[in-house]
Amino acid sequence: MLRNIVMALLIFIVFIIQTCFKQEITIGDVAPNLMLALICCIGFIYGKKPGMYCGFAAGLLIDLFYGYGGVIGLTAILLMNLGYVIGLFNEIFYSDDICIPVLLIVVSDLIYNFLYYCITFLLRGDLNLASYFQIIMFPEMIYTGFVSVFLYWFIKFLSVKIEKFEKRGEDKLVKGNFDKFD
Amino acid sequence: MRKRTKFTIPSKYILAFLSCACAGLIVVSFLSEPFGTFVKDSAAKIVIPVQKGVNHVGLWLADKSDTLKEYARLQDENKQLKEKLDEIQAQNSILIQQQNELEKLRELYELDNIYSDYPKVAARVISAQPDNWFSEFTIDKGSEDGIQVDMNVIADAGLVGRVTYVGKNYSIVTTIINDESNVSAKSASTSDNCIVSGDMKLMNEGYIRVSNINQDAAIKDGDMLLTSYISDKYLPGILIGYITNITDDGNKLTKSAYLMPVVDFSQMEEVLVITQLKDSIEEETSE
Repeated sequence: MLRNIVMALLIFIVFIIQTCFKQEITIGDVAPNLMLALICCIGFIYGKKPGMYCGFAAGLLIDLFYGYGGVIGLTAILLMNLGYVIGLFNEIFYSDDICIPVLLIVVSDLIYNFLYYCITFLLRGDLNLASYFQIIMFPEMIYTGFVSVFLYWFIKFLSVKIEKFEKRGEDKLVKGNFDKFD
Repeated sequence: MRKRTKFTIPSKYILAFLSCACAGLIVVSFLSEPFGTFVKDSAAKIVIPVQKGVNHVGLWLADKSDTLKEYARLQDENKQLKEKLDEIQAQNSILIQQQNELEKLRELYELDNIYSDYPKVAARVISAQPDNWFSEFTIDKGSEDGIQVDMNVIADAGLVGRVTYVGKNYSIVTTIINDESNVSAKSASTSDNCIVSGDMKLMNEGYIRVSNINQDAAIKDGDMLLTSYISDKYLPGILIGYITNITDDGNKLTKSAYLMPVVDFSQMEEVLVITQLKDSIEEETSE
């Protein structure tokens, strides 16, 4: 319950930061995609279901205000599937290592932007993918990757705190994940 | 013990279901505007006040940090005046506030003089498009303040864009540097017509593309471009920017060029919305 509230709050705060402070966080005409980094972090730490739900909620929030051409659901569908796919990696990797989530965020930012380009620019007959890669996709990828290092640490730190809080009163010392190694 | 018998739907089915729901939403919101407006307005009731509040906090913090800097300087220079410091600080913050206000009002007044023909409403920019692909921003005035879709927006004595969506307490402005924007323009000195269209690639260099200039046009580098009478969305006579880098197209019929906008699109705090629509002017003249 607590973690759901925290996640909802995180999505809302990141949305506010991304929209209200866009001028402040922009370097060289490129702002990092904080929402995508957040969804990836949640997906990687908590698994596919929370990643999916959070992606859906975050995408819907963005669409309601800045949906492409006033259409609702486009960003939602992208972020939701992204959260689900990143969630699959939760079962493969440990969430203590920082390299893999950052790498995943960098790659998914590239894929997300490519799909976004396909839907909004390519369908209008704009074929300048190379130059868009140079001026938007690549800088945004690097910047998002850099920011996600700190974001991941923060989300991980929060998740540990929440887990401790939720387990308080219970006599469980061992995490469910370790069951299979017994 | 953990309950493992509890029935849960596999998440891939939920994903598939939600994806279909999203696709449905896309279709519904694309086809019926009232549905989208209803949902957007209900979300705006929560989000817009927060965005406005965050903006106020930001301005307040900027104000405070100014005052603190002043405070440190005074402390170093006038240690003997420490008793008076509080008084000075209080006075100072008020003065800084008033100074900013005065400058802004002066700017707005200057703007007013240039386009005095059109009725205007001042609005504050509260948030911007979250991704890097498009250039849109939100202002804190909506249909409750009389804003309507297609109203023109100006700042720094130049055209910013037009209102493309109006909510109850906010509206979204699409700028002229946005990739999908097209403005019909004319040169102030020679009255040659051309099309100013936003371009993603040039946007980062601070230019907008100008095309469809007649080959025989006497237009030259540095000419002022104004919105033309032809446009059905933009009011005539608003300054857009200065033309530069004119080149011949391969077809020997037209020329194209770059345009340097007068508005700094990366630093916008306050804008003016012209509350007169192009349609209403046309109606008046035809009557």
